[in-house]
Amino acid sequence: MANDSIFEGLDQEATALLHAARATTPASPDAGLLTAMAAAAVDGPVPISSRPRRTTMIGKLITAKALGLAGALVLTGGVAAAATGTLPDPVQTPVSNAAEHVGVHIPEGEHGAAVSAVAHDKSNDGDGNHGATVSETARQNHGHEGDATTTTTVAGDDNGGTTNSGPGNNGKGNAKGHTKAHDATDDNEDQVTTTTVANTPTTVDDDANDSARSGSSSSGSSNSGSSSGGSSSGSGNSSHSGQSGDSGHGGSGTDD
Amino acid sequence: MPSFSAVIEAARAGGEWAFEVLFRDYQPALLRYLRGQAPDIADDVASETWIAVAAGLRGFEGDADDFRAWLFTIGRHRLIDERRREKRRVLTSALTTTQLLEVVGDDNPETTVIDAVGGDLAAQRIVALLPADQADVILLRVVADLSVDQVAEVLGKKPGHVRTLQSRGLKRLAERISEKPVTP
Repeated sequence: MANDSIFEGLDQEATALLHAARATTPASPDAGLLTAMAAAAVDGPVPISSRPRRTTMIGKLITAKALGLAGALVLTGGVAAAATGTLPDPVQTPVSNAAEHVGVHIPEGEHGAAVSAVAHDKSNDGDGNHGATVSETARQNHGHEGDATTTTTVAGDDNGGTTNSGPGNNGKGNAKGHTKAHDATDDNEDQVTTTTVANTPTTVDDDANDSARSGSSSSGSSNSGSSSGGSSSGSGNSSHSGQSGDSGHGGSGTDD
Repeated sequence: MPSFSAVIEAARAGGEWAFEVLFRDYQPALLRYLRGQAPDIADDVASETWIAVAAGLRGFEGDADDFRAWLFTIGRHRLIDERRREKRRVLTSALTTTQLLEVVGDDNPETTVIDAVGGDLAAQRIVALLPADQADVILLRVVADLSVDQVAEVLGKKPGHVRTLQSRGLKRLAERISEKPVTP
């Protein structure tokens, strides 16, 4: 051994330890390793251990990106669904309530159904108060009593057609609750006049064919032909105008 | 007995006999060095080292001493890579039964196994008693039988730094090995 000089000056125990470490035993390669070495020598420099490692790293990156993208899609999809009010009612209402706390208006889930039930209540037909009743229901359910956006259309004939809507955030509910009735109305001549007064339903319309009977809402100061979606966008509350997108949801009742 | 250069040429051409010659000459020291540092993965690292050596043999130039330094450089790098990949803790305890059975001698198996285990444990004790850089220098100097300049090349350090590490390592080894356990 060429490095015996390093033992000089060491005590006996340390020297013995180093000698023991140095003493090696013969080794015989197995046939498989020799074959692999010969193949590697012929095939050239192919670092077998580094190649799969790189692939694994790339695979990890791709997997991480794919998971991130999927998560982002789920989140944005959920937010979009909540904003458009297309979540199931049991989910939509809690989301809406939670969003209200931070000043974000999201349609509630059961508002439309509640208003729809009142609107379809035959017991009120013909008494002239049907529209007011529905309006009151709408006002009480949407939780925006302070908003100056209540829109009510009263049809004064015996059809009792009444259209009501609260702020824009109840557009979904209206559409859901009254799609069937609204479908029956294909008349573009519907005249719906809307007057918006804070919490005061005052709009009157004498059109007997008013689709308002269906309970579908109308846009402020517009003809009923534009009310297909059951959306509402009462004037004076621009913050709800963004909910006009709900009209697409309730659009099954087409006026045209 | 073929010359070293003839063995290298034959190995480059894929001759298994040439690799067997190289393996018999260098594997014992390589395996001792690796087992001293990481007994649990030493054999796998040694195999990877030889595959890497074979793959890079066409680019190798030098004599037997250069080959030794090159072999231990690759082996050390493989060891570092394997530690990072596996995140295994370096074990300095006794060898496992499997590792004991893998050490097979030629003349007297029992004696050979005992010697091998003793040598491995000695290398592991050096590693346990010294800081990593000092232990590395001592093992490369003693087990791999490399010169100071070769060790410096393997470790990527200056020869003067290697000498310092060696001196401190030997001094510390002598101090630690003579320490008697304190009894209350």
